[in-house]
Amino acid sequence: MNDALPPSNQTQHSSDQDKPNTPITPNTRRILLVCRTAPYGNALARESLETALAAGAIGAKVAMLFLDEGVWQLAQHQKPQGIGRKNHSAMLGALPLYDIDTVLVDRDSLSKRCIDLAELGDFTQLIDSLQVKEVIADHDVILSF
Amino acid sequence: MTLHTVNKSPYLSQCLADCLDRVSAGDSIVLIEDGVYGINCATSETLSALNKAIAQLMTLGVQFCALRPDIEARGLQTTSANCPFNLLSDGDFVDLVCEADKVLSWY
Repeated sequence: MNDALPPSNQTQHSSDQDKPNTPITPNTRRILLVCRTAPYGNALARESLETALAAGAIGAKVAMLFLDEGVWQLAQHQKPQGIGRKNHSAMLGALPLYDIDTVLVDRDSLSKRCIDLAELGDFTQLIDSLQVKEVIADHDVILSF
Repeated sequence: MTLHTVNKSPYLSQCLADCLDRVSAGDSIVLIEDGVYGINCATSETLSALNKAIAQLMTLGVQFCALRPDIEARGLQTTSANCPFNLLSDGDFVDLVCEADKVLSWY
């Protein structure tokens, strides 16, 4: 689409966007979704994913942080057909397609639940407990699920 | 400053312990709703794991609060003069929320 714009317009547009000290607007606000519930038991895990995809679709900067019981969402070999639900881990795998590239997982929460690190998809990043605190401090808005 | 709210009893749920693990220096914690059943957790033998965490976080300037209307509604009272939780009115709670950069709910 940008190719269709006259070059002068394009230059103007990008210089506006690159200005330093851009005010925090709904689209520049950095949003952290803290996911702390296992999938299937209630709707929260599903809703966090829908929020992430919706926010990603409008160009918001979204990161997801999987903590505590939320790390069960990442378990491989989920086969929820028998309970009439969609595969949650497969849907998480689609996050990179929606430009949600920051998917953080708390290493301690995994090890406490004996979840094998090798099971995690390559779109995830493992972080330690100190980094969890930094990530929380570093975002403008937090939504917890 | 991040404001952490906890709304589950620590005798039932890991919420408070999980929150304490992720609090940074200078943050505030408010017990609300059933979270106020933890009002005496700093001196409870059953919750001894929390005692140490709370004592340590207090040295880092973490502020501990609990919502007075929720405490009174449930017939609770503090059992120790050294209770680290400051009691807040609804108005105080609103002020604290406005003061905070963001709120993280543990539920």
